[in-house]
Amino acid sequence: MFKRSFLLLLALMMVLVLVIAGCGEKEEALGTGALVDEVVYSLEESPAAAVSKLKSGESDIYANSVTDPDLFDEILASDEILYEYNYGSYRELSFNTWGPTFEDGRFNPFHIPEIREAFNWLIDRNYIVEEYLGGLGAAKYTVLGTTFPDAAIRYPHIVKEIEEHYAHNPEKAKEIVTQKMEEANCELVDGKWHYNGEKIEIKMLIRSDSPPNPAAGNYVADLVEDVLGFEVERMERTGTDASPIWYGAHPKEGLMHIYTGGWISSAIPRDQGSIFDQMYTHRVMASPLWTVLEEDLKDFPEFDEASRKLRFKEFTNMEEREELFKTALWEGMKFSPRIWLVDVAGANPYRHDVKVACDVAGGIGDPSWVFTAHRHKDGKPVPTELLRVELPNMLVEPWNPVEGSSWSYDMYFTRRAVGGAGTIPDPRDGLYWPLRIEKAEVVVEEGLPVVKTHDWVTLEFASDIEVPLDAWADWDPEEQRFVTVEERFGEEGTTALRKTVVHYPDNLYETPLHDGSKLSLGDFILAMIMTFDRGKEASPVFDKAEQAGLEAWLDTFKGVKIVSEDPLVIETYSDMWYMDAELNASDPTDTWYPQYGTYAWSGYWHMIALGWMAEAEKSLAFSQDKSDDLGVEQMDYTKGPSLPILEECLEKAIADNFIPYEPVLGEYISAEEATERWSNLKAFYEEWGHFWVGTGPYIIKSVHPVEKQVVLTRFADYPDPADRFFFFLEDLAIAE
Amino acid sequence: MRDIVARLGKFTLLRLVSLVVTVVIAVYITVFIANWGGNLDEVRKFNIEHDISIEIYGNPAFQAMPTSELKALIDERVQLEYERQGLNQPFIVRSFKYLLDAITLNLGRSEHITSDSGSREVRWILLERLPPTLILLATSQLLVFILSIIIALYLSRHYGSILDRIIIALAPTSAAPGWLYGLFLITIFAAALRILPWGGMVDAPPPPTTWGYFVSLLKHMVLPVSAMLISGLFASIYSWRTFFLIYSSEDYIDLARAKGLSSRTIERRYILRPTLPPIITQFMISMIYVWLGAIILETVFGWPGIGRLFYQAVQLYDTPVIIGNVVILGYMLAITVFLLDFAYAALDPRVRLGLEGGGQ
Repeated sequence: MFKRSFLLLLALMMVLVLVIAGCGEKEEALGTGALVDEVVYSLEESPAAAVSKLKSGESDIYANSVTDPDLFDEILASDEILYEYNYGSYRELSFNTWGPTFEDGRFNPFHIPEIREAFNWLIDRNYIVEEYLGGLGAAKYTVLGTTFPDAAIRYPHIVKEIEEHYAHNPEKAKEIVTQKMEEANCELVDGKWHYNGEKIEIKMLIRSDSPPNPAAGNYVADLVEDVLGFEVERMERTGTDASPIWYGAHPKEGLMHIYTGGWISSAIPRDQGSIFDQMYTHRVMASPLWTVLEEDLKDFPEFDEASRKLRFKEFTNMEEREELFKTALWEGMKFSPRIWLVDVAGANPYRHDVKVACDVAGGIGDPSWVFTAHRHKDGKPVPTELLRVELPNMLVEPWNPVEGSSWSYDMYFTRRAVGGAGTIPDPRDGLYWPLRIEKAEVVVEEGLPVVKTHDWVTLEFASDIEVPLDAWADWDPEEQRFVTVEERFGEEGTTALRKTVVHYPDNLYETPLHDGSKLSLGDFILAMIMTFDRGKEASPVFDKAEQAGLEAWLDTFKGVKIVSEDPLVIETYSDMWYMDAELNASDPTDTWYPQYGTYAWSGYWHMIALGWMAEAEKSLAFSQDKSDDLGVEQMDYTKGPSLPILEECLEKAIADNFIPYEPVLGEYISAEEATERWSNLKAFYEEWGHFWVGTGPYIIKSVHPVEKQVVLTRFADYPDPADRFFFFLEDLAIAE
Repeated sequence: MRDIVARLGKFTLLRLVSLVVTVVIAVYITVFIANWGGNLDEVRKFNIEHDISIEIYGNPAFQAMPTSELKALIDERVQLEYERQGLNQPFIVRSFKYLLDAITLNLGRSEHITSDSGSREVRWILLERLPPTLILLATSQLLVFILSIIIALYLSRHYGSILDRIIIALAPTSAAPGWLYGLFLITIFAAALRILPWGGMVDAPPPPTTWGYFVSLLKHMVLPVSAMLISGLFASIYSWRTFFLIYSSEDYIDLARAKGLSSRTIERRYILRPTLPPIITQFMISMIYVWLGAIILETVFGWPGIGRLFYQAVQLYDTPVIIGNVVILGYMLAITVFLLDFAYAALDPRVRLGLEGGGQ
């Protein structure tokens, strides 16, 4: 008995030791920073070759959407490959609504809304998904993305009702078309519709380079011929050849009746309220195909009003918004200047021993891969020496952190992988999470339908949001100083619809940069100055492409105030607001984390100042527009002819101990900090051969432009836990 | 003597003028075709307008902007982009500017494409892609050329032998392009056997040492060079063999044989020498066409050469890059043709420059 108890106790102790050892090992193995020591990116333009290499283990991730059904079957059949779906693109049919006749007298059946609407019953969307996309897609009845929050989370019940109402029913479609054509004095002769004795010929413009077209387009053309009784002229064209016909030509010319259109969403839109105005009205798109809708809209005043209100957010609560969506969706189906066919899915393949998050819209990209890509063994993350990722395109345009390459494949490297940010988006639903900020408070005017989801943000409502008179509201490029709210709006000041207070953690200024420097308040202030300065004519870095954007942004921006320098607390006042409280605290102009340009690359004051010097002396330019204006190269911080010029600027900066915008930044950046930064940057350049300094989990180790390869290496001092964002790998729980 | 120099000068001048005129016409035709006779401007304008509308409307900052202001903003950005791409000028004006820049070798800046290292200067874009193309295509062309001459000479001496018959039987294999063999080779050696790489120029990441880089480069060249060799070799051998056989049946060869000269001497003096002008012409022309690269082959093997660049430029309608490529090819062809006239005179005693009514 004693012996048995002893053995049992021994066994228990061994299990306990193993468990503790296992836990200890796990803790030790993960630690901080990226789990991958080195990521090698290379170009692979052929998806077939990429899939074969995944199978053989020559690569680990193919960061591209595979949409070819045969290749998808190959992925499904392989034990070596896993995949995640993304739904970034969708297909539709655009109708020419001009009529009743074109300028040459031909009759246009599609000026009749009921005939356009009937196509919703005519077409079997599921057939297109199965037959032409091999299951890689979803039937799409409404303008809303089937997997995006408005359709999938907020209003799935409305979408479902619409799907049921417009379920495939070709007999009904035929009945409606027949009735409407007869009412329009058309007659069916030998099974084909005629008008004034002339056979009606439908010109169907079918894209030849946009799967599932041309197959799906020809399927629709068959239905128009066989079920509806129209003669069809099929014009298969590439996107380039088609654009003068559908986008450029005036609908009254009647060069086409139906066009098989396609659109792309590269990020998850949290609020699709404005898409009705874009797709169904004359108010956004400049093409004649849209501008003629102004007249058609008069027959749909309810839709027109709902669409406009949704775009300008003229609603006071979520119930009201839902009503507007309901009206816009149902009336939009009746109006149908374009009808929706399918959301095209892509399979994003990777090796079975790899885990990586995939953005619902953009696939495996920035930032989903940065914080999640790792190998695992028996389901547990393990440190990895090398991860090989193949991309279908890369190194397309010059890389700089102010207006560099905006190609999504270039931004795999240049945004969060090497840079930083205040917040990052969740690849599953587009809602933001704190990365460098700690928390935020959002206050919006009473009556605005704003909601919050996550705990890192608080939400309050106020009847009146006064902007402090001493907050900064603009920038004077000549006097090199901020313009206060009092100076811009007068002694009475102004109010805002929203106030966001962002709190950074106590240890913010301990955040290490890749060159050994530490993050400082000067980094934040320079980003604030540059937000204004590049759009001001008197600035040495004025870029005329920035001017209109700055003016538009200033219309809603009311002021920014640094409430506390350490810990850093920043208040921002604006008339622009989003329905999600998290989004109201995530714009770079809300967090004020040092980010630049349209795509919010991060940049730190000394590295930005280097480019600033090169642009100010007209040797290089941040943007393509300005480089063309000046006839100089667009700046590239990592390679090519920019490097020797930036190196010269560095030498000058070291010699002068340069501090940009010194009248203001001199208060935040000491001479000692400047000396240290320039010295660190020089050492960094000597070690790595480029000037792209970041705070992200990876450092750019080497860029091989001709060979089309990029190597990133782990930043050992990155402070965040390796698994901080591993929850992106889990499925999102959606409340029923 | 003065008369000879004058005639030579006149001939040279006329030849130069005719070649320059040919190049000018060829370049202008290229400009015209590359821009669809000016119609491409409309397509580019639609694309700019469409892309900018989508981009601006995709920015939440602009979504609540009143329609008139939004349209004005889009219009302003569109006009800026028209200016940047030169679309604010009529095509006919731009076409002559393109021509003038091209002829003066002021290749200027590209409209869309940047060099791999980030430059928009067309000369850098071309120069960056030239070494990979030279390495791949020059190696292939040289191998095809040298091997085919040597083997053809051998076969012309062993007319009707088994090897001769095998090579002749294989000649039709050259009907298939190199890239097709490339696909087969990839399937066999990369996909199935996994002993050679699928494509690209070097391993990923590139080896840090020069020697390692060189070995990796050689490894990546095996399949594309083999593909070009298989595609080009047999037809080339067949062609040269036939050529040598024709020359071998000339009367003066029979006379040389009757005089008792050795086969090697006959080959060198009486077959190779008179065939040198066409051999040199063929060689020069094939080397010039290396400049154009091999569009599909480079794409199949992911080789970053001029061929892919040209394809990319055509896809993006990047006129300066297309013209830059073509004008350099034009100049190289013109200079080659010009030099070959003199080379013929030096190599072939039957050709006399500038004499007897202008010569040949």
